[in-house]
Amino acid sequence: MKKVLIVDDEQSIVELLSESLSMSGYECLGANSVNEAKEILNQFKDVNILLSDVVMPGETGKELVSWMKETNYAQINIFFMTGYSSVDRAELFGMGITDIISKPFDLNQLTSQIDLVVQQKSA
Amino acid sequence: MSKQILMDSEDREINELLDTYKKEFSDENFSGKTVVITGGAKGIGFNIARGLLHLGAKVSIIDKLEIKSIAGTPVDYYPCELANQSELHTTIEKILENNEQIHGLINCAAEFPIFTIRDFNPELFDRTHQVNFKSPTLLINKLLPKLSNTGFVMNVLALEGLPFAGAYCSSKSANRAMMLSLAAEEQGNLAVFGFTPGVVYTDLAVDVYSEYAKITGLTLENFVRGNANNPGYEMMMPPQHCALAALLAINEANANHGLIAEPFAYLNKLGLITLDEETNKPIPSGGVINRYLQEIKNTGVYIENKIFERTMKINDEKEKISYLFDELKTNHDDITQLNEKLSNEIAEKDSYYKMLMRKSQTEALGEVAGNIAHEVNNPLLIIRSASQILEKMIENDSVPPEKIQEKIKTIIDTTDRVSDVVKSVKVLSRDTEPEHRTEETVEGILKYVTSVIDNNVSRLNIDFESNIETNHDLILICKPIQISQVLVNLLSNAIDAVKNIENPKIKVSISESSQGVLFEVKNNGPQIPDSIRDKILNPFFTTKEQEGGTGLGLSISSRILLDHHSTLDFTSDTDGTSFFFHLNDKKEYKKGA
Repeated sequence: MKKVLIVDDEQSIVELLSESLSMSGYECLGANSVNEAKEILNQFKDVNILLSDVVMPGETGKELVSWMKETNYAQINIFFMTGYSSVDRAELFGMGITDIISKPFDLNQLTSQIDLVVQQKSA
Repeated sequence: MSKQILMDSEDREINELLDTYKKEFSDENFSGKTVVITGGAKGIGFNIARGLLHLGAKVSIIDKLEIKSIAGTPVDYYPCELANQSELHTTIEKILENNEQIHGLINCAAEFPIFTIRDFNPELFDRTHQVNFKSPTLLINKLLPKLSNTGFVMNVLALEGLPFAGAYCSSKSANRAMMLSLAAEEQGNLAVFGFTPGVVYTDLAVDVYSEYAKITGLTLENFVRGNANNPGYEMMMPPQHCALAALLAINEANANHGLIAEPFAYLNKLGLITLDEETNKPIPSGGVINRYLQEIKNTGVYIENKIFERTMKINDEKEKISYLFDELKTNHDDITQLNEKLSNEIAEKDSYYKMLMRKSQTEALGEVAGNIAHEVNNPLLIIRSASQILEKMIENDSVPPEKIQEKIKTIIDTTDRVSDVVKSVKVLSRDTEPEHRTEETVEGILKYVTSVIDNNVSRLNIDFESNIETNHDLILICKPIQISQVLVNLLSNAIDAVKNIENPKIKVSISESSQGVLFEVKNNGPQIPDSIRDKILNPFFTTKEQEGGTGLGLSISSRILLDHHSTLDFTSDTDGTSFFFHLNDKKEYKKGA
């Protein structure tokens, strides 16, 4: 299954990424905050990929990850995207995320990386 | 000093007195009798000599002063300096030659030098003993053979113990002692006796008392009044009274044998003086001179002691002063040192403050830079994503025109968005160290400031409003980064104030007033308590220690505004708080068409 949850406080980004990934065959869900993201995860329960911004108003992506690891969403592959250069990559990788990409990035590259992870899982 | 003052008054001379008291005298004691008298040229001796003559005696006077007759009646005068032994011997020989028999001998001559035993004059001492004691003794010795055993020897004596009178008193005392021995030896033969005259007005007495008066610092009159302690007299005794008494003593010479006669009882008996219980006291030995001198000595000692005491006190005080002066000097040195330290610390604090300002500037910049990165990267992602989607659509040959238009619009809009951000970056890109005054629009500043706090405001769901209400479009001549920093600081504080309340609201308004361009940052947070109102602009004062507040923000903002000839002020009540300041270095401009 290829269900992606895209989390970013900027709706345009959620929409564009959603559109792009849909074109590559992914089912996309969107959220603008960590709270919304939690709701969606609980609602759908079968999301396998999270694509999220790190710094957002309210709870941050980091807090979302630690919540997920403590619940039944620990197996979800997490991709962080960030516009800040000052994000602590070591800390985030230490929490068990899959990758961090810097905005602006190549959509095709992102899609390839997600494909890879999904393939590995099903193999 | 005249007689009248120093002497109790007596107008009558000895002859008159003798006439008055004629019946007191027995003629046989005096008439035709030869009497030898030393010192008969003046004073007591002279008056006695005169009286003897008046009573019919023949008088021989031994004196160094010449005297040939008294009141017309001739006397036998033998010139002699009694201090001179050989002269005396010669004189005695002459007297023995000239006289078959002598009835009486009166030793009246005396010398009275003034000196202390301490300041001794040995020659004068010996001379005094010669005149007052040895010569009289020799005279007695030599004339005794010719003295009839109905006759008399009378030695004029003095009191002991007078100060400055050691030579005189000791010689007179020696004389008395000799006389008493003689009296014992001549018991049943001659009448031998002494006579102490009291204080009599004579040249000798005046000389001596003048010296005493000088020593005590009294006037002669006052000294005599206080010290011529004659019973029955106020001042000195008139010499004629003394002579009268002496003649009365001679008149009963036998009764006086071996005794020392005094004038006062005789004179009292005659009614010339009045003695009562009080006055009829013996003149104290040593006299009042001693008392005075003792008193002076005591006073002297007392004064000396006082001076000593005072000197010690002064020395003490001097020591104290010296010590205090040293302390003062030490304190002064300490103060100088502390001053230096203080100056250094102020300089340090000043540079530290400047460093903190730069640091906070840098931090603000860092924060802003971070924000800007985000503010640019998101739009860039949007533009890229939109572009890549368009690309894919073309690849897939599925290019719905509305979609294309939609994407292109997104791209264009987002590009504009980035443009705005860049504008605010322009503010940052100026030379910050040190920032110079430059021109900047009010809008530019506001835009930049808003971009910095936008995230926080939206994250915390604060109702944020900003507007410019100036009549004209304004350019400020200022240091824009610093002014922006002030506004960011005020907004940051406002955010802290309202973040935990319901319906948090912050408003930034820029308007024109009589004082220039007014910048206001208002919030509806809780009132600033009275207790801290005058502290909040102070450096290092913070209410946010828990959150790591440095307390520097407002103080730095104040400083920046001071640099812009402005002051940071605020009002605060239950409705909310407003921080505000004016900038009046401005000019109008018209926006380009």
